[in-house]
Amino acid sequence: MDDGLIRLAVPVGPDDHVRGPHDAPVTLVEYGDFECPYCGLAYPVVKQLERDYGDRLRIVFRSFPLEQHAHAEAASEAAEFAADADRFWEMHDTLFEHQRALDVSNLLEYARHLKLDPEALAVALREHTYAAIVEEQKEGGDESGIPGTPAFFLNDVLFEDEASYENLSGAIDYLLKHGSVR
Amino acid sequence: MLEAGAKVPDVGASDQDGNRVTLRGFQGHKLVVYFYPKADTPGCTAESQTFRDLKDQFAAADAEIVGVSRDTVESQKKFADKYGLNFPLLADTSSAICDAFGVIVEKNMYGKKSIGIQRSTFLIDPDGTIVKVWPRVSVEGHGKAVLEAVRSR
Repeated sequence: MDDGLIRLAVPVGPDDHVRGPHDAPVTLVEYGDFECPYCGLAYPVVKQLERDYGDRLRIVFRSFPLEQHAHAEAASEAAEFAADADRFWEMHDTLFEHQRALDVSNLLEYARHLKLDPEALAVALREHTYAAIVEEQKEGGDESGIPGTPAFFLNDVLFEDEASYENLSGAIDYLLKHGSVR
Repeated sequence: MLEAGAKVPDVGASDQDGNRVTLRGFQGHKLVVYFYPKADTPGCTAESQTFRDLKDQFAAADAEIVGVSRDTVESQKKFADKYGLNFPLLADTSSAICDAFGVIVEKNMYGKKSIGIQRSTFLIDPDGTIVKVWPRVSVEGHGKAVLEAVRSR
């Protein structure tokens, strides 16, 4: 029966960028765009949730760069470049903390700051080395039918309210207590 | 939800400017009716802007575009003004259009029941027959996919 809920099409797997224990009772999957201002607003909210829920919450981030954001695709590719050196989350944080400075020169600067090789990033961006990985993440979001960015899935079900701390923590509390969305 | 082959229901509502719009009033032209859950949701959604940007191309293929949600005329007006949406946005506050198309979904989430609209799009031929349905719409590429379908009719 169709319960009207939108579900995560691609389960969390070994290729995902994950923070928190794999057996956490609640998993938050975000489809985000590093240039999307609403994702920028949600960024500190997710950070606060991580602090407050600790081991009870696992966080996953997947890129969903929108065409209307000129720098989002390169930013996502830079994050994947950083992931190869196990620095995905550092780059993720840096990008969200500098949403309005995502030119290639900025991205190279962030790489330098994270002790990554800016020359290698420049080549990777030019040759779109990481575009296929980003595209795969985006296709997963399309497959799920996400309405826009940010899109948050809590235990595989799309969270449809505004992504405020109150709304998200309320839903997480409910899941911790009842074990499911209903 | 209505399927391809069905006739467009005889329903209508006021648009963002308060003009009464009926879906059968578009007969003689192709019509794209897209349903969205809420005017101006907090997030980056491209759907309405995509239809706006492609409107000339839809017009060149003799197709009109209409958006529908259960928002008020005032909300639709604000939404249209904010994004420069240049086609009718129907304020289906009575839910007559949504009910007729079967796009209403009842959701039970986190201890709260709510009624919402499933994001979906219908393409209607000039004779008033629904010829294609997108029952679940994702954010990107949808406008182009609909345009292709319009052109192939």
